[in-house]
Amino acid sequence: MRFILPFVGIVGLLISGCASTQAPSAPAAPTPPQVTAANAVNALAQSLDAAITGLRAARDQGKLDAGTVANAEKVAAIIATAGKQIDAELRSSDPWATQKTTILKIVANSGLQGAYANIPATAQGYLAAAVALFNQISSAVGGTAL
Amino acid sequence: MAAAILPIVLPMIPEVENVIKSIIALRKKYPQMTPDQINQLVAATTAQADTAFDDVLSKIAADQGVKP
Repeated sequence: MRFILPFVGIVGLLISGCASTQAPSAPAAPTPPQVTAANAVNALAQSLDAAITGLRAARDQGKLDAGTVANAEKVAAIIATAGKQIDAELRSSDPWATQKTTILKIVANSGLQGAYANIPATAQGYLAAAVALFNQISSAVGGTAL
Repeated sequence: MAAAILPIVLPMIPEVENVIKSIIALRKKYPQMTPDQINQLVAATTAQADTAFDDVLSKIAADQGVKP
């Protein structure tokens, strides 16, 4: 027995050296869904600003008429308003299950689908990135995509 | 070197082998985010998003006023 204890100590030292290099690494903790949702909404907000800039440039270059750009900006405004409502819900103390339901209602009641369908495809192209992100958020809470 | 020694050493002390294996099998859990940390991160991210949304809405409002 007395020969084993020092041996265990030596082996333990060896293992402690091995553990840092040989032990399998544990998988990273999953990102909380509220954080994922907040990041998605933030990405949506940034892409919306780029969309507005693109629409105005297209108008100034004569690629889109003023009326089409105005309607496209209304779509962007709907997305921005819904985005702020989603942000407010994410900051609330509601559990994630409740937040999902509320966000789904915000998406469903936004009127985005009808407004988006009313603008021509050329204008829709400038909003494509923002709409794709909005669809991701909608899908994450069980909603449908545009 | 240690990795080479262990397979040789462990079978020589079978009564310790299981203990050593259990030590090796221990996993460090990655730190989980606390609810406060989650709330702080969400608050910061949504604040940034709201600033961008407000900027977009202001630009649209200004543009609609110039070119209704």
